[in-house]
Amino acid sequence: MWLYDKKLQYPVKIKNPNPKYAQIIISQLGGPDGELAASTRYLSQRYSMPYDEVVGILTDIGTEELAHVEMICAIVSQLTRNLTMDEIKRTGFDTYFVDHTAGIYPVSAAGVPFDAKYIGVKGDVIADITEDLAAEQKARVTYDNILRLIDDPDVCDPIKFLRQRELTHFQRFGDALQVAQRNMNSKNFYGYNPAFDKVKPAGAMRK
Amino acid sequence: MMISRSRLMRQIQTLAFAAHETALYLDGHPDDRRAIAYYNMQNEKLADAVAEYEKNYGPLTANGFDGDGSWTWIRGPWPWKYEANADVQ
Repeated sequence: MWLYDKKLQYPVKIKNPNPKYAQIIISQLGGPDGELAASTRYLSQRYSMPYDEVVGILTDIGTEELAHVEMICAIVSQLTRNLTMDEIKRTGFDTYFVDHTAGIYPVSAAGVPFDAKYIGVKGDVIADITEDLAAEQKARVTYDNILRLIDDPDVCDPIKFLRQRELTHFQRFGDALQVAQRNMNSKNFYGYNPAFDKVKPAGAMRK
Repeated sequence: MMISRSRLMRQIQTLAFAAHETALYLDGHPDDRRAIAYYNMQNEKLADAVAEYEKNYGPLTANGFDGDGSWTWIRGPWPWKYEANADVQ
């Protein structure tokens, strides 16, 4: 189960609303490499993961990603507060507004709704952990691109925090891969899948 | 002297971050005694700061409610609002 903590992981305080920025940053909520995908991916992968250390990493990073979902929503929500109809039309926010008003709905910057196709749960130790390593790098690139598009320091500050977390998580999934490989056959990591095979199939130890 | 809500919140965020960051490391290195000692130290400070916050400014979790008056858990501003963060340094 989960218990809500009534605080942000890191402060979000944006003085000047800017719906154009909101429309870009919402990609880290509902886009292909966003925080919702991250959380869903890691928390879902736990159930077939045979190693306690890796289950811990998936649980704790997956939980932190929920806090990042909240931070992105805080950014988008503060960027779209007190908008006038003129601002909505002038900034191109009208295409989002028509369906969602100033509510927060998980879409990419291009308006594509969130999709479970963004995540992978293969039920295979190495496939899942390497997916997670790539996911952290892809999210880092998206934050780099956001920082290229935005110049309000109030917005960049929490975005930089979130970008830095992608790097840390990449390191931790690196730990996860090491733990997994320690537990597997160093002569052939692909000989069998410890997330599924109960016994090593005959020949698994063969090179 | 009572610490302001915003200063106490920032302290809690900082301590919770240190504890969480150490927890992620410990998941992959569960026998690192120095990291465990650091985790315990941060976590103790965090518990003190949370107790201080909840005594003065209301619960941080629904379980943190401690009173017999009204149900202060629902009292805003909720964390995503500008007003909840405006003076957090």
